[in-house]
Amino acid sequence: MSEGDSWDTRSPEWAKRLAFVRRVLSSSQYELTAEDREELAQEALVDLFERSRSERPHNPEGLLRTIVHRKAVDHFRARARWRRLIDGSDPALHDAADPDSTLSRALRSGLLDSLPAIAQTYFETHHPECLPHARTYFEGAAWKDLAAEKDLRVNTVIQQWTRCRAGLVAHLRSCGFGWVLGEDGRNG
Amino acid sequence: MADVHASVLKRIPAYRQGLLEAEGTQEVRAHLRECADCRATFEPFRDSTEDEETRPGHVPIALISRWDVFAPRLADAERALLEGHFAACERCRTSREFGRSLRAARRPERPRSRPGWFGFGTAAIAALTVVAAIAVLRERPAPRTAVPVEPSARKTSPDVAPAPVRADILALASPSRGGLAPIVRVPRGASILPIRVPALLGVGPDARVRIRIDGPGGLSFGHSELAHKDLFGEAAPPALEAHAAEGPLPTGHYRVVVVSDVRDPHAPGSFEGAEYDFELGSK
Repeated sequence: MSEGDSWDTRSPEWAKRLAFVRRVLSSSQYELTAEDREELAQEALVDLFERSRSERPHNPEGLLRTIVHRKAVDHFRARARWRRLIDGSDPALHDAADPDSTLSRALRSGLLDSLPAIAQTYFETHHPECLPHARTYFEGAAWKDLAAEKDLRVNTVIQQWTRCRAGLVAHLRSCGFGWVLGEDGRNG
Repeated sequence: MADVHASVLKRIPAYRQGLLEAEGTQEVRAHLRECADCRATFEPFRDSTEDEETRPGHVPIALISRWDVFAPRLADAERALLEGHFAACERCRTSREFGRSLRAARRPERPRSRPGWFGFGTAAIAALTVVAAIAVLRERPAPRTAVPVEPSARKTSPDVAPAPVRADILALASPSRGGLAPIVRVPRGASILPIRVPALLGVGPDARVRIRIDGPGGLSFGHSELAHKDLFGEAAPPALEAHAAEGPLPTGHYRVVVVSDVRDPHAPGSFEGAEYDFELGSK
């Protein structure tokens, strides 16, 4: 990317794109707090930025609309997930979110959703032989495809993954990530 | 029994990620089969997120884009695990940098009761000063003071007769916030008042702005339309001139209304802008 490029990180086009995303999120279709709107707008732009690095979008506004909509859907789903789990309450009964618990929920769900990334780094560093298994597992691919690729039986690759996973779990425990395994609570 | 529910609920995220041992997995699965409440709690976890579908194996964008907010709340070991991924993953690292630059450029939240409109740079500082002054004046009323006007860039020519009386440039600084309007004193009989308008915070240089001046009796005393960038800088030329249809400008209350073509994200249906009130007097 060059400085005159509208996809360059310093391009003033990003301010226009941000204004556009804010307008979309201000639609009555999305009932969002001002803070959530700003966070989702920022996420949508980071997402667009990532996509633009692999391929320049031909219709940025159309793509942004799609990204924004999906981000908003994920946001509402995540809220429903974590309210039930953390507060033990019906999400429909809590429209006014407490900012601190909202942040705490976002952090927990973000950490949990980061596990595949953490696993990938762990396996790359410590057990590269487990990487194909981790990708198959976290990307929801079929064990039989991996088995065919490695010329092994399906049960064998699943057993291999069980051993890989045990190493990962032990690593998570040793790094204070036991709370994701339901073993102890996480503060904040 | 409540302990069983609590124990299962606590393990739902790990169960979803497939990180439980075989025994734990069986236990959670069996309980979810029997317990409708816990099943309802688990149900939202069955859906994949957009990130999981489009960029598996990477730190979620929700976490990347708020990294500077979240990082201080992470335990050291948690932060180290994620930093390990950032160090190894150029994609996540670059996105985090971009997210940081976006957040740094983000304008501060403004009060919602009435659109809070600030100008750039010194104009914003001046606005805050005036707001503070108004707060003090509300508690301890004081005589109104006149707003000084800058020396005019253009002087009237003695060769032209009859020459309109041009007042010095009025540099607006503080958007109205419901307090007392400042007094602007112009020479007796002045018929033209050049007005410099500060730029709007959070509005890009390529936006268009429309400016109008309403005066005593609700009459219009001028309007203009120009690029927002034309307002940039403390030495920018006056954005417009207030002038009466004939004769001198009448004394009384004036309002300068600035509206851009950028929608206000906090007030659907409205646009970014500002209003400035002043009382015109003579000297």
